Amino acid sequence: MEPGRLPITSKSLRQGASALVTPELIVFPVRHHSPSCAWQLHKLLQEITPSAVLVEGPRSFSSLIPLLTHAEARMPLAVYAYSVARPSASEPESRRSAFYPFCDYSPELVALRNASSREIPVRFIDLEFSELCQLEDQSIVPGAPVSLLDESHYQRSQYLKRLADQLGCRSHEEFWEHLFEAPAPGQGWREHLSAVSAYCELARADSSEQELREDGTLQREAEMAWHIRQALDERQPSQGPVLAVVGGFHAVVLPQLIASDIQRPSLPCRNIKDEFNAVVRYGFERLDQLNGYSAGMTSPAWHQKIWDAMRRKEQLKQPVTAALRYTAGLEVLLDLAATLRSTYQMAIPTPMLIAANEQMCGLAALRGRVAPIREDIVDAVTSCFIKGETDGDGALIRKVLTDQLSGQALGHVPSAAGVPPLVRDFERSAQQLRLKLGDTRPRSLVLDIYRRPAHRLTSRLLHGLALLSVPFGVRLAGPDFVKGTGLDRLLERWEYRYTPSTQAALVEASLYGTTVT
Amino acid sequence: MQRTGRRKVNIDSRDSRNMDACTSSPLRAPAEQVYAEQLIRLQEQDRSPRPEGWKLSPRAVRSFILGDPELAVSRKFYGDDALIDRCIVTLMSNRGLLLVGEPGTAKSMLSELLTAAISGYSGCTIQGTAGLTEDQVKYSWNYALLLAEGPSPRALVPGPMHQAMREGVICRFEELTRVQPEIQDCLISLLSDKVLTIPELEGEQSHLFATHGFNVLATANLRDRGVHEMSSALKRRFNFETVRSINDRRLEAQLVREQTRALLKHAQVDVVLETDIIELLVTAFNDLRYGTTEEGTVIERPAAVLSSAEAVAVGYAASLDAHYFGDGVVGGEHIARQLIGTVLKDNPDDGKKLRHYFDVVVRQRAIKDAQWRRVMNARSELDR
Ligand SMILES: Nc1ncnc2c1ncn2[C@@H]1O[C@H](COP(=O)(O)OP(=O)(O)OP(=O)(O)O)[C@@H](O)[C@H]1O
Ligand SMILES: [Mg+2]
Repeated sequence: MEPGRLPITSKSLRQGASALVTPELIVFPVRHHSPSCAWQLHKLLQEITPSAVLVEGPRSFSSLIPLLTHAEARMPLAVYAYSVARPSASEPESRRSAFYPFCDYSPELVALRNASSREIPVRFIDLEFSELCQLEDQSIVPGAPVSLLDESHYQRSQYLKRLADQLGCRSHEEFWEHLFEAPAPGQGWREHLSAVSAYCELARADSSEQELREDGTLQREAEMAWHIRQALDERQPSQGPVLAVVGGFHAVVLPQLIASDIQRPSLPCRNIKDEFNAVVRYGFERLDQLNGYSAGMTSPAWHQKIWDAMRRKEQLKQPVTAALRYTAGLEVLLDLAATLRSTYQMAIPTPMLIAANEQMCGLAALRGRVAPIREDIVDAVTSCFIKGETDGDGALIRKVLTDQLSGQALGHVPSAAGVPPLVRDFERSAQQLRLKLGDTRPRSLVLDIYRRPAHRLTSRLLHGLALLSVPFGVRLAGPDFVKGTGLDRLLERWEYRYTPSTQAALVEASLYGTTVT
Repeated sequence: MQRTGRRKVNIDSRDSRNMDACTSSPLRAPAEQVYAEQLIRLQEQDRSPRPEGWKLSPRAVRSFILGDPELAVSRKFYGDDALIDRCIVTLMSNRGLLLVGEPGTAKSMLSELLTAAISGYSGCTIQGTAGLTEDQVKYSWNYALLLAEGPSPRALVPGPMHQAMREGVICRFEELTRVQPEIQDCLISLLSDKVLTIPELEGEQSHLFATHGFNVLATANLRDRGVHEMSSALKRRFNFETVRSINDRRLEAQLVREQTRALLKHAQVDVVLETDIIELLVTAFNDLRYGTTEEGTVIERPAAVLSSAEAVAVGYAASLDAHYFGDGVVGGEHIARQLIGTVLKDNPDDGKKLRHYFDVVVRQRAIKDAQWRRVMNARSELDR
């Protein structure tokens, strides 16, 4: 980035923040899956009664709001969207799909839940998934599902990168947690909002108009601005403001856009053959950015812990302060010690725990933080739990900790969702055959397919899923009747894993029929 | 005792450490002297609270090691910044710090830098060897006085640990695991009780209580030949920190460039060492160190140590070669000759592995790149 390109001063940053909050309209900038944004939004909603709540996300997701906010729904869930384009002269038929994940501390879900419970009109306002696919967006490629909550704009920003370096933060994630998550419990929502808006202005200043047109950002913003203007027109003067909950990167330009005479983009989806949205269950493991998915933050279980702690304090009418992060950090250390002792028979004497806690606090102080963040916990464990080389003895401890911070939680789709018959058939058969669907851990199976009828049925189910390209079981060994190899073998060996992709693929395969076998 | 800031040194010409590997350098000065000016600047600007007994605040110590461009403080350690935070926080606690890791990963350098910044003095140092005795660690006696007057503080000759506890500075213990386990274990009580007992003396004098600022910073190799396992009681008194070799080529190239240039300047050798040559050197080291080349070819790793320290040494020696025996411009052949010398130490298999590397990897690169061709042309050195 050449110097001087940033027309940014602290004054312009302050102005930007004040434009977001007016008596008619509040554009609330969020980062997806950020407990601090969720918490501040929650506090804002205690103060105001919006005339309408608008949330970033494809328009047709609005019909799924009753499911997402249903009393039976347990997070993490995701909306799974797919879109099939007809073959054209240049391209064969292509199928694209995406997840839009929600957890308890998603600001979007906080908005949906609050609006639904108070019967405030609430809807999604972004382009449809099929429309997004029409844009020249290189990030939505056919094949494996992408995420609708991509945040690469922040990661690409050189400006933010330099700031992060200056603060000694190793990653964008650490930088965010340092700046926003750590101070959040003790902050007011206005203070938080101006900080987030400044952050997003900086990221914005680093992206060129052309980039933003090419990746569809400008068209999406035009669509959102149009919906916000609709809501403003519908609003009675006596009512509270329209509340728009959108990614901070978009939020900072919306007030200006709404004031201008921007056109709603028209993206006729002529060549779409099939499109569909469904609520499916999602998992923390998949939400964790560390596992290679672009949406979400690292360590969902850690953020959930902080979120739960804030909610609990509030319910007990106790002050919500950054101190609760110290307690949460210590709890992580205690849980880790318990797992290492019970599952791995490691000796973790109490002084070691005390030392780790002290180290965590010391690191947070040295790094100039209000309260410890994920990195401080990981570093404290590295310093105090590992009595040897990090890559030898330490590898296991670090793995257990990462898994613990990531968590295994799986959501639950309310029965009202009307699960497609194929999914129901699969779940019923799997239950009968005693396959484990309770978490996302891999499990192995040895099937005696000639002598045990139940094993034969299991084998048939697994082969059926493989035929439908549903990611679930992988055959490691056994006779292959198609290729005619290994025919003298009596046993089949499989490894299986019930992941969110399994359910998503089943939803999608529903159009072929209602039973797997 | 030497303290920070008494002496002025010319930072420009001495801004980098001489390395053990580079025998042509003159005697080396301790870090607190080499970097005296930087330490003074940090001290003057230091606004953060200082732990009792520390010369600098933890943040200033961090800046000293990782650099602070605004105060013209150079970066001295490359790679793992979080490691430095952990080391500093550990040294504030009541546990010792033990740096472990492969040879040549800058454990000793870090130990010296940390003590220089925290205590202003890095000279309280014990060199661990198989023959080290307890009195070399704690204290011994001036036998003439002892015989004449009996045990008295005057007759006591303080060892490094005694000195460090009295002065409230950090005691460095190099190569801790080479020391016999019984001797290692004399650290246990020093670390947990922070008191040194001198049973020969009477009353108050029989106990030396550590002054604030005292701690132990040890380095060790856990896997080398002839090292002893530490007792678990001693392990518990230390926080272990693994120093890894740099696995970022760009950073390693920067390190090799800066340290080699500083060495050359110090030796007043004027050669042209281009960036592409440094990249070639770092690439070759990475290929051989990790066993996979940039192109993804899998090769066998030689047993010889190929740390960043060796990379700097190869860069420096190649420059000297070019200066004294060439035209003053470092080329692929100079790097190749030094690299061969570094890899072929005592393991005969390493020769085979290096020949294979030349024939499979270097030969391919030589087709496209002139410098790699010059590396290839030096292959004959391998057969001597
Ligand atoms: N990450 C690094 N940053 C800066 N310098 C480095 C780094 N890694 C290696 N070096 C260089 O390597 C030299 C050798 O380091 P040092 O002697 O401290 O290694 P060591 O880990 O103590 O090795 P040994 O185990 O053999 O004692 C350092 O003085 C420094 O010049
Ligand atoms: Mg050493």
